[in-house]
Amino acid sequence: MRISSLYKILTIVSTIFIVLFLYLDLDFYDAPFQKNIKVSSPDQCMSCHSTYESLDKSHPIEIFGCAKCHGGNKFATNKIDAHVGIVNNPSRLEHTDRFCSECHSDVVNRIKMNPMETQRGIKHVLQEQWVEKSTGLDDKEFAKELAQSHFAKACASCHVNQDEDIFHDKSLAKGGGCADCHRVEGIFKEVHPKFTTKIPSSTCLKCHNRSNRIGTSYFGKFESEGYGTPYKNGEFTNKLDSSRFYYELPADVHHQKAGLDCIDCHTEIGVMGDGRENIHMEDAVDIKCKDCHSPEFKDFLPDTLAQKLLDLNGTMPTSPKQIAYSSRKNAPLYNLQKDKNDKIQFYRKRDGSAFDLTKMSDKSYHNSSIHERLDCSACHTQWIASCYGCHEVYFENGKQFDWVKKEVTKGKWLEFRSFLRFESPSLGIGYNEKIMPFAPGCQVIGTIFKDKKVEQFHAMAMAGWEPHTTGKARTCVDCHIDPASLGLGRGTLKIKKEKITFSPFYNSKKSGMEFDYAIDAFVSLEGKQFQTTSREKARGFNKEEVEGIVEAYKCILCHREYEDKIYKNFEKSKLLFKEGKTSCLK
Amino acid sequence: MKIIISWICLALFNVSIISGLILAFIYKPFNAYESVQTITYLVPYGNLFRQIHYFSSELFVVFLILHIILELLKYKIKISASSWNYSVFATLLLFFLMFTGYVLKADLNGLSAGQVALSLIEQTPVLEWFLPLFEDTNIFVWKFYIWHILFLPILIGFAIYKHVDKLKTKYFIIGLGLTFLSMMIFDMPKDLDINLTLVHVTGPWFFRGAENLLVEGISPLLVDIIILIPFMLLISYFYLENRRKTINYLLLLWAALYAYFIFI
Repeated sequence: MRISSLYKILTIVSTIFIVLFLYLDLDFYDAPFQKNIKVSSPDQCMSCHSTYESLDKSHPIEIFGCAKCHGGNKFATNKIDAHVGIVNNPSRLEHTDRFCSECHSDVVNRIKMNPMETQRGIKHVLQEQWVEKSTGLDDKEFAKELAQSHFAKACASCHVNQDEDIFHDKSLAKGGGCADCHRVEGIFKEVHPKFTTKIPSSTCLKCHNRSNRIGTSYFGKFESEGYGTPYKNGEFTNKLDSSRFYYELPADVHHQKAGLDCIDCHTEIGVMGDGRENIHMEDAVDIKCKDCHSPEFKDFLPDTLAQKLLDLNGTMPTSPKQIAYSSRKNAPLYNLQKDKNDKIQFYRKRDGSAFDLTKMSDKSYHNSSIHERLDCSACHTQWIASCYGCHEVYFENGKQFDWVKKEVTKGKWLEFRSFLRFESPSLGIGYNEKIMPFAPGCQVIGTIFKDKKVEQFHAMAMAGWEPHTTGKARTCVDCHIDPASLGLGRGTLKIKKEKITFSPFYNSKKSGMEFDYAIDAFVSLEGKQFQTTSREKARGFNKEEVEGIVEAYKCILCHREYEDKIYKNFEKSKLLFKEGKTSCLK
Repeated sequence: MKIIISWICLALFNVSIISGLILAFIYKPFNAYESVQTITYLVPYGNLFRQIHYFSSELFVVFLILHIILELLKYKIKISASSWNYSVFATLLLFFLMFTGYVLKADLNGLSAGQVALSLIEQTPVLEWFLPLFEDTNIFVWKFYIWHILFLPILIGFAIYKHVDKLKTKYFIIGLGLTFLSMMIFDMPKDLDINLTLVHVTGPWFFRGAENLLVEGISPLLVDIIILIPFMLLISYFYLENRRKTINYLLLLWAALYAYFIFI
């Protein structure tokens, strides 16, 4: 074929093809004007997602658009192109550096080091209690494997960045990064979620409803044994979740009187982290009772975290004269304000309701040197939830979901307990060297089914808690002559001719335990500590301390009230007593 | 047939130049990614011209390689030494032009490829002296842009003018037709947002072999030499009349090895 002929054929074919192409396909290249797509602002996502509303008032969709936070191609006008690289939940911590850090780098870095994300506290306690302090687990490598397995299959479900989609029961879902706490609407729904800084307490309770159950205790809910009464309409009532129930007990006074939520006391720095790699909850928490009840006010400065938080909250005065600051980490307590007339008001963050603050009285019982080691919770705890004897059964050949690997893996744990009860708390020396309530934390009694053999171990520990059931102070008798408060356990305490004796109710050996002390006994009268703690400075009372506390019964027998005049200056009263100048000896 | 392919090469180059001129009215190097996306999605028929530009350029490379293969298989060269040398020079510059175009889209792939190229230049002796001709600390794509729209088209155009004995523009329709045909058959690669972190970043297909050689720990200087080998062989092809078959085998060997590193 000659070149000129070939050229002509190719030219004719090409011309026909070009005309056909332009006629048939030109519209395809004219996006967005084809298909009636309206060009939207600030990105094209709103062309399709026009019904979506802003996340919150700080992230207006009219300014931020969608791609700023979700990625994808904000210019694209078709779904496939627009969704290249899109992220459904940008608040997951693996995405926050990319999406959130431009504005919130400080918070993003802090939350990643927060114990609620790292779970360093749980890991640390497991390592210490199971590997280092347990009895019966001589093979330390195996003990370590067990601790890791237990963490992965039982504990790891709760952390800020957990994958919420892996929960079959959506009512128990946790995780999702920032959304875990800040999302209040639109969870698992076809609408855009709403974010808030007014975190409802129910969000905190997603996780803080077990262990020592401080979350539920605050609201006066005590987990019951297996069923909820009254039985109504053919089913149990008072459900904590699908399989747990509760009794109504006195709630914390802050909830009873003012309906305060967790966020009313717990600060942004305390919850989100202070930038340090804190191990335990008490390292992260920055609030103390005295921060509100004996507050330190400082001038309110604009353009600070306090103002940002006030603006975000939007329910309380935003230009106070002074606000209180936490004593541990100097976090702004922006809801505790002093106005221009020096009037002090405490505002509930949820709705801005104002309350007059009850300041700590300067009465003798608060200032007495004999009580200077007492944490507020030692006296002001109404009750504590104590879960005794955590029976952990491990089946090596079983299979169970692993919350770290997010798949079913070898090894299965079952958990039971000896008993759960509400009670006046035992006391001991806490992590802060103050006398505070103690409860089991945790008393692990393990049975391992491995290679057709059965092995047993136990790791019995008590832990200091802030039970979150604040109320009127306990009586003097309640602490000084109650064996449980002394850490001896429940039983009969007798004082005869100045000799103290104690016989416990619980008999461990008869109950099939491998230890001979009562399961609720922290220490013996002789000051021998039966159970360990997971904090360096935490311990039960020693012999001198037990005797010293009990010895006070001599005074308390007659002087039962705090208001009694001998307590106004107890040192002077003691001196007078020793000099025989009091009426006691008459 | 062989002459038709060479004219189609020229036609595709012309299609690419004209579509590129239209795109240049919208493209803003100081806001590169946004302007590419604006061209693609918002400017009326912007996507049409972008795709014409992309596919005509890719086809140009394909037809040029075909043209070279057909010429090499003849073992007889009818053109002068200067015409031959200009053609090899134009081929080398064409890949450079294609590469700068890839960088100009300024998405994650484009910027990453540009960064790899700058690092390659910086770490190559002698070549490092020319780094300021490519690197701009304020607007990353700026100097790639200058090369792409100004120097390279002029240099390639001049080399082509020197290579061909006469310029024929009537094949333009065939070039455009082939471009439209490839637009219907193939999809243009999606642009990747520069903030994407969970994707595998790659350069243009012809540069992937060099990238993988670098990944394998080959020194930048050696990679540069490997890239230049086919052009050196093409130059020597003209002068080593008795070794043309050997050179063809060497070119085939090089192509096979380079293809291996592209797909590794």
